[in-house]
Amino acid sequence: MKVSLPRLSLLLLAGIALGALIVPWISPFDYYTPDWDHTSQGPQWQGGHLLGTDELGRDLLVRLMWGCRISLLVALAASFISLVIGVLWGVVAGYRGGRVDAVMMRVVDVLYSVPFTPFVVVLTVLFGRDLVLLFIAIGAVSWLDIARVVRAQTLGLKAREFITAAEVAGLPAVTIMRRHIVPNLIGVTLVCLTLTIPAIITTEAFLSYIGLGAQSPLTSLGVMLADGAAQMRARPLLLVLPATLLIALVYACNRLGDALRDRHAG
Amino acid sequence: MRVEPLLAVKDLSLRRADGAPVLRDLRFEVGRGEILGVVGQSGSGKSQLLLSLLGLAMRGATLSGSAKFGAQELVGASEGALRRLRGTQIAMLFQDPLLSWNPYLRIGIQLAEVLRMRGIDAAAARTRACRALADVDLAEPERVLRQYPHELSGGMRQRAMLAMATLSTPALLLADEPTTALDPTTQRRVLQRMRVLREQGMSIVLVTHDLGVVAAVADRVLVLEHGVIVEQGEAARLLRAPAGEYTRTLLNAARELEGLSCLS
Amino acid sequence: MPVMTPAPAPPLLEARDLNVSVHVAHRWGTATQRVVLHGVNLCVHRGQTLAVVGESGAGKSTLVRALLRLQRPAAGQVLIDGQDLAILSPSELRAQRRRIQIVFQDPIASLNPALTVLELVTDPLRPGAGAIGTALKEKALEQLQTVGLGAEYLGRRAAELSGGQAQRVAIARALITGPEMLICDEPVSALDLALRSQVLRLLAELQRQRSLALLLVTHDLHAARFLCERTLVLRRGAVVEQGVTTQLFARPAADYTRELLASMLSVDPGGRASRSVS
Repeated sequence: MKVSLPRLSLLLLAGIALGALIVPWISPFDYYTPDWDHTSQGPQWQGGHLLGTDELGRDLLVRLMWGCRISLLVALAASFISLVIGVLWGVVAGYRGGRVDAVMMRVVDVLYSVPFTPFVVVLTVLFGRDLVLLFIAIGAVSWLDIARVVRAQTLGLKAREFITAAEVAGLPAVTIMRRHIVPNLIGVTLVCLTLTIPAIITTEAFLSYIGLGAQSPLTSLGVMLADGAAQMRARPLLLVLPATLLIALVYACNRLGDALRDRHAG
Repeated sequence: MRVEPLLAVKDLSLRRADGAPVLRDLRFEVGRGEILGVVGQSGSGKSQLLLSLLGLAMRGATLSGSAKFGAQELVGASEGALRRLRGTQIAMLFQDPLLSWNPYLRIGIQLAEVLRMRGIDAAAARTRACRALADVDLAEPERVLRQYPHELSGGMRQRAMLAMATLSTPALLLADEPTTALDPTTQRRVLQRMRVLREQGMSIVLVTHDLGVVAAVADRVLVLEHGVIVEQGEAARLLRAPAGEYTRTLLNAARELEGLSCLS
Repeated sequence: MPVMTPAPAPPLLEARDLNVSVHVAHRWGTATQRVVLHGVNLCVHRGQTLAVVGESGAGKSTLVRALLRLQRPAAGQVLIDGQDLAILSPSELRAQRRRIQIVFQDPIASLNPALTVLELVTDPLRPGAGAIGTALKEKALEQLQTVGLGAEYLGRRAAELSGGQAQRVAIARALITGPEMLICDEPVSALDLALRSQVLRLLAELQRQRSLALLLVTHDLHAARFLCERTLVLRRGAVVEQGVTTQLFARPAADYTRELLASMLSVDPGGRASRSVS
C-alpha cells in the first residue's frame, strides 16, 4: 500500500477510533471507580496501569480512551444533525429561490451572528450540564456553514439542463430535489463534513475545558485537558497525553478532508 | 526552388499521462498564406494537436517529434520562448470562449492589451481594436468595446475572439472550431474574413468537423482519425475523389445530411 | 416526407404576441431587462411539424423556455389546446407540461450524471419515491428499443455513453410519457457528422409513427427542410417570415431568409460553397 499522508491520517483515525472502542471494553479498569491505593502513579508496564493513574487512582489509559469515545461521539452526532438540517435547508432555499430563499438565508445570517459561547452558557444555566445538550448546541450552530455551501451548489445545479428536463417531465419539486439535486451534492457535502468534524471536536474540547461540557465522572478530551492543565507542574503527562490525542484527531480529519477535496476537485 | 513552409511538423506524437497515445507520428506542412483544414470526429485528437503546438497540451502529457515554426522548434521549447510566440506570431482561437476571455474586464481592454504589449499607445490601440471588431462584422463596435464578455451572445463572443486573435497580425492562426456555435449568416462572414486574412498573407490551421466549412475555405486538408493522419492533400481533389476509406465515410455522411433535405 | 395533416382548431401549442425579456445584471446592482423576443406568433397543430430557424443567440432558446413556461413572458400568452398557461395552478401546469417534451442540444448535460439509464428513462413516470417495478422496466426497454438501444444500456451512466447514445436515451426519456409534441433544441449539432443523419432519421420515423407534433429549433437548414413541413424564421427576436418550408426555401420573401439560404454550405464543389463565401 502506498504510504501517503492521507492514508496515514486514515490509519491514525482508524487506530484512535478502534482504541476508543476496544480498550475500555477489554481493560480490567473502568473510568470512574477511584482507587485510593494507587493514586497518581506513573506508567507501569507490569502493574496493569499502562499509562498510570490520575489523582483519584483511575486508570489513565481507560479514561483517555473514554475521553476519545465521548469526543468522537459528540462529533459524529452533532455533525449528523448538522448535515441533515444543513442539506435540507440549503437545498430548499437554493431550489425554491425568491422569497423563500431570502427568508431562509436571513435566518441563517441571524443565527450566525449569535455569539456561540454565551449561547451555550445560557443553555447550561437553563438546562444544566448535559451531554445531549452539547450535541444540540453544537449541532444547532454547525449546520449553518453546510446550509450555505449546499445552497450555493444547488444554485449551480439548478442551471444545469438535466434539471430543466426533470421540470419539463412534470416531476414535483420534492422529487427533483431528492432525486436530481441531492445525489449530485454528495461530493461537496462530504468535503464540507470533513471540515466540520474537526471544528466540532475542537469546539467540544473547548466547552468541556471551560467546564460546560461532559459532567464528571464522564470525561472527554476537553475535560482531561482541564484536569491536566491543573496538575501540569507535577505531572505533565496528564496534559500531554490528551493534548496529543486531540491534535492527532483534528490533524487526521483535516488531512483527510484536504485529500477528499483534492480528489473531488480533480 | 522550394519555398520554406511556415510550419513543418514531422513525426509529432502526443501521449497522455497514462501512456495512451493521442497523436501518432503526424507529418504535415503549412505554407505561407494557406488555409489548412484539419478534419476529424470527436476523439480524433484535433484540438489537442493545436494545443500541443503552443505547449498547451493536457497536464502530464508528453510531446515528441518536431514542429518547426520558421527557425524555432516548438516541441520542447522553453516556456519563455513559447510565451513570446503566443499571441504575437502564433495566435489561437479556442473553441471554449471561457478560455479566451477574462470575465472581469471589458472587451475593449482585453483587445487593447494585445497591442499595448507591443508598445502601441492606448488611443491607437483602441482605434485598431474598434476596426478589428468592425472587420468581423460586429455591429456597433464602439459599444461592444465597452461591454463585458458575458453581455455578448455566443456568436458575438466568437467573432470578437477572432478579432482578438488577428489583432496582432500573427503569421499563423490556429483556430479550433471557430464557426461551430454560429448561425449560417455569421459563419459565412467569419469564413469570408478568413479568406481576407489569407489574402493578406496569414496562414490558418482550421480544425473542424464540418466538411462544408472545409469545402468553403480550405486550400489543403488533413483528415485525422484516432490521432493518425489517414489522408491529406488538396481540398478540392480530396472532396471530389477521396482516396481514404474514412474520408469517404465522412464525405458520405455530409452528403447524406444535405441530401436528406432533398428527399422531402 | 413529413405527414401533412389537416389542421383542426385549436392548435396544440400556440404563442400569441409573445414578448420575453431577460434580466441583464450590471455592476453595482443595477439591472436592466433586455427584450429578447418581440411579438412572436406561432402555432403548431397536432401532428404538424414546425422549424424555427435563424440566428444563434438568446432568441431561440428563450422561445423554447417561454413555450414550456419555464420562463414567464413579459407580455403575450402561451396556450396549450387553447388553454392559457398563465392561469393554471402549479399542478395543472405540470400535468399540461407532460404533453410536450423536450430534447436538448447537449445530450450529456441533459442527463443526470448520478443516475443509470434505467432510472433516467423512467424518471418522468416516477413522481414519487420507490423502486422501479418490472412493469416500468419493461416500458423502459420498450422505449430504448424504439431508439435503437438494447438492454445492456440499462445499467450505464451518462459518463459511459457517447454523444449519439446519450441523445437517444434523452429521446427515449422524452417519449416515455407518450407526449403529443416534441420540442427539439438543436438535437444534432453537438453530435459527430456520422451520427447526425441517424438521429434525424430516427426523429422523422418517430414523428411519423406516433403522429407527434414537432417543433425543431435549429440553424441547420438541411435538418429543417428534412423534418418540418413549415418553417418560421426568427431574427433579433422577431418573426421575419413563416410558411411552408419548401415554398419558403424556393421563394423567400424576406432579405434575411435569402441571406440564410445563401449561407448554407455544401461539400460539393461548384455547389453553394463557392458561391456563398466570396
